[in-house]
This record gives sequence, C-alpha cells and structure tokens, in this order.
Amino acid sequence: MRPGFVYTSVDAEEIAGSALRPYRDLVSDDSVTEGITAEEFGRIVLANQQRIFRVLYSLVRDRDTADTLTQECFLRAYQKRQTFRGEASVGTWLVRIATNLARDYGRNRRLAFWRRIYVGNPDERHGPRPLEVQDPAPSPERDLLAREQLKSVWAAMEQLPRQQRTAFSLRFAGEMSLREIAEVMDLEIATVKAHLFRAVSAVKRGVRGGAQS
Amino acid sequence: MNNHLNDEQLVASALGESDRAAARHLEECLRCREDIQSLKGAIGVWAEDVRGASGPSPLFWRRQREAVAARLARRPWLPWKNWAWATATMSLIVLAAVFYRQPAPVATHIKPPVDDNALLLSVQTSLTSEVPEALEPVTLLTQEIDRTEESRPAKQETTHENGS
Repeated sequence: MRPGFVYTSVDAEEIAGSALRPYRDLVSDDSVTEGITAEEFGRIVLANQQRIFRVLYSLVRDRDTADTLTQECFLRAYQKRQTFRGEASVGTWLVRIATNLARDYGRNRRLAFWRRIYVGNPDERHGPRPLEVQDPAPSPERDLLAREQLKSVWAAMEQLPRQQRTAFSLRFAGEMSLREIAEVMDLEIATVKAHLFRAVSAVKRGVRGGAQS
Repeated sequence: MNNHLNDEQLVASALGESDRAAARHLEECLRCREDIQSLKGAIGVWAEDVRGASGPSPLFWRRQREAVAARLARRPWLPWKNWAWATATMSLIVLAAVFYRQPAPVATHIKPPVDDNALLLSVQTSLTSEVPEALEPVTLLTQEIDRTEESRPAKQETTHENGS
C-alpha cells in the first residue's frame, strides 16, 4: 500500500471483490510502470468517492452534476497520475482536482443558464429530500426549524465569495483539517482560517436573519 | 450577565478557536451557549443534507465506480494525442501569423547625429564660401565654361599658324 492512501467507509468484502473488478481490465504495462496500478486506482476510487462527491455536491448543489463531476475527477486523476508527486495525500490531491472542476463548472455561466432552463431547480426536480438529521425526538416544529436553518445556510453559502465557500465546504462537507484545506487551496493556514471565519459569520447572519423573518 | 460574547467570539467558539476568557464565559452563560449551539446546529443540518444527497443505498456508489471504470475503458489515454493537438494549434497560429501579417512599416531615414566640431566646420565653410551651397554645382559649371572659352582662341591661333 502506498503511504497517504486513506481508507474510509470501505467494506472489506468490496475491496477484495466486486468493487475492484471493473478496474482489473485496465491493468496495462504503462499503468504499472507509472506507479499506480489499476488495482490501486480502484482502491483510491473506493476510498475517496464519498468525500469527493460530498465536496462537489456542497459546491454545485445538484446531485447529477456532482455525480458527473466526481466521475470526471477520477478520470482526470487517472490521466494525470504521473503528475502526482506524493507531497500531499492522494485524498488531498483528489479534492484539489474536484474543487478545480467545480470552479470551472461555476465559471461556465452560459452552461448554467441552459442548465437552469433545461433541468430546472434541483429541489423542484428531485423534490425535497427527507431530512436525515439525527434527532432523538423529531417533531414537526423541529423539522420545520431544521428546514428553515437548511434554507438559510444554503442561501448564505450561495452568496459567499468562491474562496470562502470552498473553505466552508471543505471544512464541513469534506470534514478536512485546516492543514488539509490549506494544501488543497494552496493557501496559508492563517488565510484559510480568515476565509472560514468570514464564511461562518455570513452563515450566522443568514441563520439569524432567517429565524427573525 | 451583561458581557455576552460578540459575534466574532461566537464564530471563533463555533470553529473551536475560542480563547480562555470566552471559554470561561461559555461555561457560565446559557444564552451564549445556545447561540453557539444554534449556529453549530444549522451547519450540522446543512452537513447532514450534503451527506444525505447520495442516498443511503450503496448501489449509488457501486454504479458510480462502474461508470468511472467504463469511461476509463472507453477513453484511450494516448499521450501523442495531446502532442498532435498542440502541434496542430501551433501550426494554425503560425499560418495565421503568415497570412494576416501587417505590412512592414516604411523605413524613415534618420540622419545620424552630427559631431559638434563637424557641424561648426560646416557652418564656417558655408559662411566663407562666395556662393550658397545649393548653387555650388552652377559655379562648377560656370568655371568649366570659362575654362573652355579660355582654351578656344589658343586652339584657333595654332590652326592659323599651321595653315600659313
């Protein structure tokens, strides 16, 4: 196993069996000499796909888009596997690719315009998802409050500048440490802290405003 | 309690960055604790929403892995393709530069700077000369005519003497 490969939420049976089967066909001489075998790549996908998806979903707020971008992230990683120098963990490297993909996706305003027209609002398309908050005593009031809070946080998130939004997503959706976020965003830890601080302040204002209205 | 935590301190506490004084205040102040819990709760609800976006089914993840594998198998990763694209792009740029080249600017002849001494000498020569510089060729022509005139009678005399 290479250092830096993170295994999270992985079913042991899946590693040994069906999850890697599709990648075995990809084993070729070049992939072995370049350091990452197809089998290893399969493990990388398995170990990181959930976090990559979460980060992308938090940035684009559309399940299908996040799914497509997650796939694209792994394709890019496979294509650029020679450029991975092992300075950061594979997970951090993948999250960096994912945030760049989300940024490029966000920049394409024309695509966003057509997407809105063709696909519509994600909430309207999929319908409101049931909240999966761990609540010992669910009640209609609590559910309503949670929905209001969720709406306020998403609304505040959408108003944030890109760097603050990325820092917020990596911290709370990607569950990354400040050091990892700094590596992904190529910033100093102090700068990451400042972005996070501003982002959380904006969210706090949003939540407070939502509660008062 | 009057000195509640300000927004900055509340956010710092929510991020786990509170100082000792703020932490001590939080132990005693229910209102500030509730403020922080409310903020953390809202962010927690959001994080749960993000986590739940994929649905609980492991089928989603399996389908995604299979899709990645299928797309990898479909795409031949040939490095020469990149080079081919780069070469084609460069060729187009060069061709465009050749065909749409701007006309060369007309060269203007600028006299090299004249040495001060040479300039003074030139002015002095100009002042001392009897005719302006522009008329010098005419002077040369006049001198040539004069010389011709002077030599003609002599020739005639010589011819006359030979004839007699």
